[in-house]
Formats: sequence, C-alpha cells, structure tokens
Amino acid sequence: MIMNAGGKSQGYWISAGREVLGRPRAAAALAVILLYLAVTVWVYSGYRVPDWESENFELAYRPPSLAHPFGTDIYGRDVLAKTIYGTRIAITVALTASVLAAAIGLALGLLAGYFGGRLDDLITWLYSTLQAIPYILLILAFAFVLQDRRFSLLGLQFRIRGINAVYLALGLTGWVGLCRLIRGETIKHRDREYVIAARALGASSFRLILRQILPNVVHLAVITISLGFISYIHAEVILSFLGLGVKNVPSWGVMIDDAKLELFRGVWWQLAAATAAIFFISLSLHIFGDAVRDALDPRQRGEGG
Amino acid sequence: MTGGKEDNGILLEARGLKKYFPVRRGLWRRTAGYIKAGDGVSLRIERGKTLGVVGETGSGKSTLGRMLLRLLPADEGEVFFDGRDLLKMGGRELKSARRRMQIIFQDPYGSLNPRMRVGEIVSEGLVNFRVGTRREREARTARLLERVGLPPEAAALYPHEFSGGQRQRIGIARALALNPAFILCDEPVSSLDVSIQAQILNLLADLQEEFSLAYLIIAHDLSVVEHISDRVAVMYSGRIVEEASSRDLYREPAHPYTRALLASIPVPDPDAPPPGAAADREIAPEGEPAEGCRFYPRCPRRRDRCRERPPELAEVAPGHLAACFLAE
Repeated sequence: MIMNAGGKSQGYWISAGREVLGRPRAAAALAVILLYLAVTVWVYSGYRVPDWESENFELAYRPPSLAHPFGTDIYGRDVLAKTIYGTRIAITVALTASVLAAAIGLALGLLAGYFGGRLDDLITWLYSTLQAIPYILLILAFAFVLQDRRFSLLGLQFRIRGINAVYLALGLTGWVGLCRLIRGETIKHRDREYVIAARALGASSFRLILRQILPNVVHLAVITISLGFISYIHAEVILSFLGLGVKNVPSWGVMIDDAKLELFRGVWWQLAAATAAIFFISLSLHIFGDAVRDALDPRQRGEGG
Repeated sequence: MTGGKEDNGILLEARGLKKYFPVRRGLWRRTAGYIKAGDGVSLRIERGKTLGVVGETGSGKSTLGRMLLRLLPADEGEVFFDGRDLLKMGGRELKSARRRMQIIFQDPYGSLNPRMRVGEIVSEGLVNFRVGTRREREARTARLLERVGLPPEAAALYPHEFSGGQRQRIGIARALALNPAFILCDEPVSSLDVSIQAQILNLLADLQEEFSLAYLIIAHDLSVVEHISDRVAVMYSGRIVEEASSRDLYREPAHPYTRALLASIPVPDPDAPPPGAAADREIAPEGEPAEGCRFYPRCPRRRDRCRERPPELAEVAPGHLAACFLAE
C-alpha cells in the first residue's frame, strides 16, 4: 500500500501556511503587516501613545529632527504621531470593510451559485449593476447617502458619522468581485460527485453549502481579502483626501490633503510620512497576498515569488 | 416484467421513468429539441440481487440511476422503494429513505471532497442521522475502513494521499456507513486499472453477501457486469432494449444492439478475428426515424417496418425481454 508513511497528515491550511512562511519575502511582509496591526492596537489602547493634538505655533513647520523625526505641521503638531494615528484609521477601515465585503460576497455567491434560478438572476443583476458604476463614484455616492443617517436596530439607536459611512460604503460595494468568483466556483462544485454523495447521505442544502462547498471555495475569499485590503486602505486615503472621511482625527488622506498647501513652502515631510506609511503597507500586502494566492490556489501561480 | 417472484421480494421498482433535457439554442434560448435521457424506463430489483445496466455513453444509464435515488427529479414516472413512492415523499420521509439507498461513483477523484479527512467523509451519513456519540461514530468508521480493506489510520488522512483503488474503497465505506439495503454503483470500476477492477468487484460481491445488499451496477462494458449481475438490462438512447438473466443475455442475445455490444468485447487472443463484425452494415442515410426504433440507423438487420412504430419491450423467452420486432 502506498500511503503517507505513518506521518501525521497535513491539512490544506497548515501546509499552505507553511509554504507562505517558508518564503523569506512573504514572511518579512507578514512581519510588516503585523507591525501595522500592532500599532493600531497600541493606538486603541491609549497606553503612552504619542501626543498629536497639542498645538505650539512656535514649533510650526519644523523639519525632521531628533525630537520630531518626521517634523511638525502648521500647528506645530508632531507628524510622526499623526502618522501613527493615521494607521489606526486606515487599518480599521480596511479591516471592517474587508470583513463586511467578504461576508456579503461569500454569502451571496454561495446562495446564487448553489440555488441558481431566480435567486441567481437577482444576485447577478445586483452585482452587475453595482459593477457598472465607476468605483470611486459609487463609494462617494454611498458615503454621501449613508452620512448622518440615523437608524435603529434591535432597539439601539445608531448614527452614522463620517468615517462610519466610509466603512459601510467600502464594505457594501467591495463584495462584487468576490461574489462573482464564489458564484462561479460554487456552480462548479455544486454538481461534483462528492456533493451528490453527501446529498445521498441525507445532508441538507444548508449543510451541503457549509460543509461540502464552502471549504472548497473559501480560499478565494482569503486571497481576495488579502489582495483587496490594499484597495480599501487606498480608498480610505482617497475619501479622506476628498473630505469625506474622518474629521478632526489624523488620517493619511487628510495629511496628504494638508500637504497640498505645504509643498510650495518646501514642507515635504508630512507628504513623505503619509506616503511612506502607505507605501510599506501596500508593498507588504501585495507580497503577502501574492504568496497566499500561490499557496492556496496553485493553478493561478504567477512568476517569481 | 417477469421477476417470477412475489411482490414482497421487490426492493426497488421503477415504472415509466422519463427525463427529457431541453436543448436550447440561439439568443433567446428557445427549446430546439430534447435529449431523451430517460424515455419510459421500467425495472425491478429484488432484495439482495444485482441488476446490471449496460449501454454506451449517453444512453441514459447514469440519468436513470440518479432518478432512482431521486438525486435528479424525474419528469414522469414512479419509483417504489420498499413499496412506497419515493418521488412523492416529503422532506423527512425522503431523508429516512436516503438512509437505505446509497451510491458509489465512477470517478474516485471527484467523488471525495478534497478538503475533508477520510474519517469525516466516511462518517458524514452517521453525523447527518445523528447515529451514536462521536466516539461511537469513530469506532464505526474504523470498522468500515477495515471492512473495505483499509487500515483504520486512514481516517486521519486526506483523499489525495490514496491511490484510485483505495479511494474507491473509501467511497464504498461511505456508502456502507448507514447500513443501506440498496447501493447504486455508477461505473464503479471504469476508471480503475484492470488488476484493481477485479479486487473492487470481488469486494462488492463479498459485501453483498455479508449485508444482503441489492445493487444496480451501471457499466458501459458488458464484461464487467457479467459475473456480478443476476439480471442485466441493456439501454440504448434512453430506453431498455433488452433485459434478461445474465446467463441468457450472454448466451442468446435477442436484440441486435446487445449482439453488437457482445461482439465488441475484446478477446484476449491475438489470433482471434477483430471485433465489430456485427455492425458492418452501413449507417442508414435517413437517420433516426421520428417514430419507430431508435436503433434503426445503426441496426444491421433493420427492416422497413422498424421505421413505423417503436418496438415494445416484450417477452421473447421466459424471463427474457427484448424490444425488437425481429426477436418476437
């Protein structure tokens, strides 16, 4: 008998994880991503977080120095502290939007693909319509509509403020690509013999979707999220730059917006700090997302790595 | 049909099963015609017995099998399992019927979920029907794996760690888990090496004796079903054209299509004349008649009257049915 000789059998996810971490570049990228997440947690904890609020006009527009590694802004506020605070907004928005988009995309994709018929037509129509609208305009529209809305859910009153509208807008528009992928893949798996076998063994539709089909398509959600995370960070920056995002709290987009007026004075450090912060997380997410895709879906394996 | 036995010996009976798949064409997807995968199929399977169903690719064998288990809804017809109409059952009743009828597939790669461990695959049915505790299910899974000739440690592994024959054994263990009375074997050995085919067929025969299982074995190759079947039905284009005991069918095939199938079995003798002698008449240029016998264009013994109306399945000898005017 030919068989894995006595060893413990590795699951799909464990071996994929090993493969990702086995690549030095992907492991380094993961370290950078974890650093950004750690900064986010740190800012939320409020424990000895650098002060970005105290204004001191005498310190305005100081170039980078030991006391202020990234210099100061027009109010004499520390740019490094602002960048650190900006991390919190960027990561929080991207994380929330990713989870929301993944949940909607997975659920609708599985339902459309599995049940087909009218439900499939409806969901396909919905995402085709959303996809037909230019992305940034769509987000802007959603953010405008959702802003300052009050609604009650389970007896609780909610008010959607600026940045929350961005979370929702990104999440409510970002599921389209994933949904289409999951739908197609679900249709492919729906009539596979192992699904038919499970139905013959008395499994309900619900159980078939969750136990048989979901494990075979969920890697697409992981790949899409890890590669889509960057676009949410970028979207937050763009929306904040356009004045639709956070107000009165540091954000990379707001920093770049401020820098519009600073550059002609030769004040380059605020722009540089925000850009660098975006650059490193983008690069790391790209490298990591690529490695994740290669490990989870070898058919799509590209060059390099 | 003549089973020659009382009704209570019948486990599964199908009457007039029909399944037409619409063929859609053009921009508006108009129905341009139908593929008649099942066109009034009736059959009976006795408890503990085996019915072989043979026919070429596209003859409707697999469609028939899936209709029998209600994995594919039939357009028309009835399926009685243990005397109750399977096609009229509601959710709960259907689920409890599923417990007693199982399926084994042709492709040992596509039929096992690549993301599940073998133990989870085999115990799926036990979980669905809440049989025993987790530990009891594990113990039963281990016994099932041993029964089909795999070590109990296989439960912790993934399907890709097994060969094709081993995977087929896993599929058989899965089908056995709920103690079924009937197992549909859809081309159980077609994708296996010849040396492995015999092992799997012997295993199926042993299990039949041990658990008094009834089988419906689908194959495109008469030689596979010859030894394991009690009766054999030959399908052509969605209809059963001949049905007889395994012995009679091989000794005295009545339908020209059955003869062609038998003649196409390769003989392991290099000096034997090449097969295919039975189908040496040219294909009829007028094609398949709208009425009449479906086999007409390819039949070496076709007559004009075969075009006029379809031949009914009728007894040509005791227990031997054929749908051919020339066999009557």
